[in-house]
Amino acid sequence: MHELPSANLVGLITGLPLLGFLFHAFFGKLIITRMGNAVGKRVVGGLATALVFASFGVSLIIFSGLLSMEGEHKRAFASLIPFLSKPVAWIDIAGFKANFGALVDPLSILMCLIVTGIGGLIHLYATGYMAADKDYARFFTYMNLFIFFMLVLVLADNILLMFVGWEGVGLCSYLLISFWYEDTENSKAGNKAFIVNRVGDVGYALGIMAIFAFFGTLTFYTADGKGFLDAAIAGKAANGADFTAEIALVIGLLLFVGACGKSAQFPLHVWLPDAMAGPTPVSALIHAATMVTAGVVMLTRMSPIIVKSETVLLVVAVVGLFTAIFAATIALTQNDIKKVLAYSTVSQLGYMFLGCGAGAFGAGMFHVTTHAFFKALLFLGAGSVIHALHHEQDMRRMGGLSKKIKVTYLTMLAGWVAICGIPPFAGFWSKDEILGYAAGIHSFGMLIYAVGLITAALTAFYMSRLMWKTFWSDQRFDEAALGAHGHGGDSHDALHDHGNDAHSVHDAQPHSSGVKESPPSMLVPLVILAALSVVGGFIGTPFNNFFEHFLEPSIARSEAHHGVSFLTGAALGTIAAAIGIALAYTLYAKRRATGELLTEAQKAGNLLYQAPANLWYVDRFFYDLFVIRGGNIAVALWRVVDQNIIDGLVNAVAGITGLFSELFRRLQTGYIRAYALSMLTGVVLVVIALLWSAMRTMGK
Amino acid sequence: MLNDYLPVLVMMAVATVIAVGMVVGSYLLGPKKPSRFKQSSYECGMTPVGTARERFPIKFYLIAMLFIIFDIETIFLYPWAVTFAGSERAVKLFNLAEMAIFVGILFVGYFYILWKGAFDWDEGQREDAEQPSRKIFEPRAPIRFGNESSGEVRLKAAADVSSSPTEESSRLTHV
Amino acid sequence: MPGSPTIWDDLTLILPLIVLWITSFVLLLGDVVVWKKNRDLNPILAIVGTLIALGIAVYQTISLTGDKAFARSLNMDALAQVSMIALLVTGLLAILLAWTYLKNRGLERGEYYPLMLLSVSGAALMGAANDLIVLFIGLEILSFALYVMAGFSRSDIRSEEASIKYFLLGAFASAFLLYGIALVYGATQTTQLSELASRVHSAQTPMLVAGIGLLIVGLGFKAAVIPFHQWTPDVYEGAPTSVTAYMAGAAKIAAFVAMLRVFDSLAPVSSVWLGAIQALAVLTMVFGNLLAIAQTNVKRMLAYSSIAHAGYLMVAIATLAHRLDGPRGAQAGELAMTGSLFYLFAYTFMTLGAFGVLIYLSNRGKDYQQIEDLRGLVRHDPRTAYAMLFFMLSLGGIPPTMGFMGKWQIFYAALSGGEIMLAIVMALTSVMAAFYYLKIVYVMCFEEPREAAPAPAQFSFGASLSVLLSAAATILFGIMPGLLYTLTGLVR
Repeated sequence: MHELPSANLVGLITGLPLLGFLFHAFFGKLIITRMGNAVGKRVVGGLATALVFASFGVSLIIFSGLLSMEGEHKRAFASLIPFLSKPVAWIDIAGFKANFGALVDPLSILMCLIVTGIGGLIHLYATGYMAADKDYARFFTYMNLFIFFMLVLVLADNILLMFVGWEGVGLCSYLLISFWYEDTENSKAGNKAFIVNRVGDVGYALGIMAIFAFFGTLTFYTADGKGFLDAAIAGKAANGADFTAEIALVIGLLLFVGACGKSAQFPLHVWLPDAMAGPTPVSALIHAATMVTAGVVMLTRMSPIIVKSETVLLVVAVVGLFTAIFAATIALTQNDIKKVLAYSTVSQLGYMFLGCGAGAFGAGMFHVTTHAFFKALLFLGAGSVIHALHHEQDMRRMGGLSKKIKVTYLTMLAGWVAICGIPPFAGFWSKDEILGYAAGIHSFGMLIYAVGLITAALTAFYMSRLMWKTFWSDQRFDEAALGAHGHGGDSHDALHDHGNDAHSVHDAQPHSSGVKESPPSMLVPLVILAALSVVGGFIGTPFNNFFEHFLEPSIARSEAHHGVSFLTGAALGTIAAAIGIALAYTLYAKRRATGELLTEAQKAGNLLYQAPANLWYVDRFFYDLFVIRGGNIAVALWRVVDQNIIDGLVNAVAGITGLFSELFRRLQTGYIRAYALSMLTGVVLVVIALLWSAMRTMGK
Repeated sequence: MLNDYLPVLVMMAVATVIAVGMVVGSYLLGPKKPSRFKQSSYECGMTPVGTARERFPIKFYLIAMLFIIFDIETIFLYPWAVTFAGSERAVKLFNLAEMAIFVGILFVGYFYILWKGAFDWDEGQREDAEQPSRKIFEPRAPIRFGNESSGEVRLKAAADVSSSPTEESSRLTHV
Repeated sequence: MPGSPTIWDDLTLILPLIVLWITSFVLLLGDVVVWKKNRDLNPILAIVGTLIALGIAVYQTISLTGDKAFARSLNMDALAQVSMIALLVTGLLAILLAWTYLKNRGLERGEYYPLMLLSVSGAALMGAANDLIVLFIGLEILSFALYVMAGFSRSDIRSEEASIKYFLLGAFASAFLLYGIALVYGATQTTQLSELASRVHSAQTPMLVAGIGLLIVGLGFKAAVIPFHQWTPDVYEGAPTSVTAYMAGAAKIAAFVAMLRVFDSLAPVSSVWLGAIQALAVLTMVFGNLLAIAQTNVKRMLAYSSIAHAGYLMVAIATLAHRLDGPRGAQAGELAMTGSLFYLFAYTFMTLGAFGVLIYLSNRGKDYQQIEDLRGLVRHDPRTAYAMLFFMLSLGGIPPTMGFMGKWQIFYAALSGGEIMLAIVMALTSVMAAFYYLKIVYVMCFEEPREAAPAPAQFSFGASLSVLLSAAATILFGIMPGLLYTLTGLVR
């Protein structure tokens, strides 16, 4: 089959979550008040989850259709609005055209599966995790809206609509980070995410304009080959001009800036760790599994443009690599369990960018997929730990949990082996694939490869550290005191005193105390994700690379190649992971009781510890430069320029205008005779003017 | 070419002669018993001298306007009738239907003003003028013209007539 | 003869109008005789009739034939159909508003709805006219109903005044229009617009030029173009608010669609009239906005705002002059055509919405007219205040509302047609406009109410639904203009 009949269902993928959003926005709170807390919340949460899973079901149908599709492109065009067979025009003015259209191809459907599949599991998890929250309906409203926008982002058939999804997920991210807005810190974290993302969005928006300027269209592909990516593959820009490397450089770099913002690449990574102020399911869904990978998805979609310019590829690779190792060093020093995972996410995103930069977009997407499995798992596991300890997020006050919360522990274990890169678990295959391609970059591929391996070792080390501090070392908290006190500042990490999940679960069981395992609604997703983390990598082994073969039609061909053979790479990668784990084991096994490598005094004096612990001073630098100094300049401008000059001008103009206005309104006398006279004057003037201009033209 | 206009000229002359002849004839033949009433100029029964701002029943206008509307619509019947006579048989039926629709629309207007009470002259019926009067077949009160209550026609014109309008007419103007 | 168009085909083409006429007759007689006690039946039946007409109009638009009807005196092309849809939508919203307003004011007399439906049909005739005489008849059908409706509140002296002013000046303007038609006929021996287009170029006599000038005057009066605008504030203020709302939307649509038609056919002699249209556009934009600033009465302010919007639409008419100047001009002309239709849709939604808010509020036993009356509205009636906010933003042309999309299209058309000066004036005067629209927003949202909160407005189905629909359209078509392009884009 060269056609995809099921493509017409694609509107349902986005439509169902949108329906959920609208329903919850208008009736969610009402249902909870009317039907009672317990039943109402079950209905609201259940519906939100069911709709996302239904969307997953539709994605599966289209996916199976896509598998049996023949032909080179495996592409179908459909309407993003349900029940319409043809895309509806969104904007159509004088050649500037954008549709509400969906591009159904392997890349978009893969992302749909991830977003709705993982998203559904996390929704399910959240029904348990958020059970005691007073804004339950609002939470699921935002979550469904997020799923909707994320799906618009991945399914859009033109870059402008993709931008709508892009901004929409940004909005939902903002809303969910500051979900507990009563706490100022949470609001600030939301603002930080929003503002830092704006920097990237400027790049993206300029990129869109550049695309329109060079190609004259915003649609990716069309059935008759007139999309700008069609043109880029054919090597043609607008009006028959050649698509040169310079054009690719301009567009590629602008889009890359956008991708950096959303995917938290250096130096725009600063928002992501702060985003952990949101509820844990949000961290898992938005800030680990889906939204932050949007940058990678976008670069992959744009691959026909990106591969045209060596420079862009190199920039992407270098920034990715640097971000990977940079964030890994910070992760070594964090004490907040969610912060470790957040920096780990930044680091893993760096890997994905490295893959894209090496021209191996398929490998990058593979890592997006496996990372979605194990990072969602780790975050949800961390949430389960936090839940068990009544909102303790500081790993210094954990330990010995391996026996107390067995299911959580075992699933976290699966996530741990997956992220460390131990064969044959999920992370191993994708990371190995990326590093293999990275080694093939130019002449200095080996250097990149070496840094990548070091990062892998660091990853293994900080993840083992996390496992030690949380599960394996001795218990370092007073179990009896758990749940007895409120969620005060006493339980916060002194350094990163951002909000946490304190609000939600605490109110649920105010009287229970002690460590408790999470309810089944939270454990089921953990188990499923753990299974995926264990076996998920087999879809993309080098022996039978189903994954990259599936994605091939969506990705531009590049010159990417493996710089090391599979066996060498696998061996080196495993050794790096083993070194990291072994180092952590030997170091922490000796300090079972405290779980700390360094004493506070040693920490204070050690610059090698202080620098990463202070986030390499990047956040502080930005704060000083933009918030303090920039703020000062803004205030000065406001006081001097705005208040005196601009306002003065404006007031003067307004005054003069008002004066004229008063003057002319006197012409409105209210007498018909005056009106008729003014009409008559008008008539005479119009006729004279016409005759005059007619005479002038006739004279010519 | 000018000959074509000769009949017109003749007709104008005849008309002039008749008009002048009547006036002159009545002046010469009629008995002359002048009185104050007769010496005042005559204008449709209205008081001839007085302020221009005199108020009198708006009903006059209403009736006059309605008359003009229906009068003019009637004129349309003439050209239609001429064409109708000369048209083919097949088209005749259609033309008839067309005129029926036209007259039907006129009837809508007519029944509307009728039921609305636009022809109800006297005050007894005007009390419920907003409500339609459905008693169209019942005997009517005799038609009155707004000046009955003023008794005699006053000739002491300017000053008197401009005095306050009668109770009746002032009400009538506020339909 | 089978095959050739018969009278029945012609009648089918104006079926929506026939539905309107029948509905108005039924209402007229029914209210007097049949259901005189049941006041709600009038608006309901009027809505039913309008909906049927709208359905037929939409169906005919989908299966567009573009035929000329009644001996080529009507041109039922896309412009006619789309403007008919716009007018029927306006009528629908206005009926809903009137339902509430007339009840609140105690003006529930049955003649209102038939008059309105008849005037809609007149306006639609104007939009479909391929003959200057038909255009004139349409204009008079529209106007006569409006004169009566303006004076509908007979106990209110301001309403009476509005009616008589509108009538006298309207008659004055009609005379000019008719004289213009006569002169154009004298110069070209035709009143048919499609014929005119092919004849004007070879008939450039002073007679034709003067005729065009008088056409501008006659249509400019209806469209409230300065200096033929002075009736507007007085009539808008004096007429019952529901009439003002309807008049603002319908008269504007009819006048501008007629203008588009006339000047589209006069494009071959655009050098003659372009200068005058440009001057009128500038005058209208500048003074319309300038005078609006000084107003303290919302209805009066909206009257001046309607004048200002007429100025923006005149920019589109001026752009139409370049229709025959090469491919770029043709594209600009096309844009001006579709853009002004979009703008008319936007204008009718946001203006009826704004008046609708006033009507909705006046249900508290007080007639809301002064800007002062809206002080602190957001405190005691936030939903209504937000609706008003959207209408004001839209009128001011601020995204993501429909008003912005409309203004942008005309602006874009003017730029691509080479009317740079007009585009600049349009942008500058839009800034002025922002002042008085935002003043209402400011008074509503940022000032404390003077007095204690009045009783909340009673729920009234008509006004609420109308405001809701207008607000939804203003935002929906602002975010997804493509939905409306499928309609306005037909006009090419």
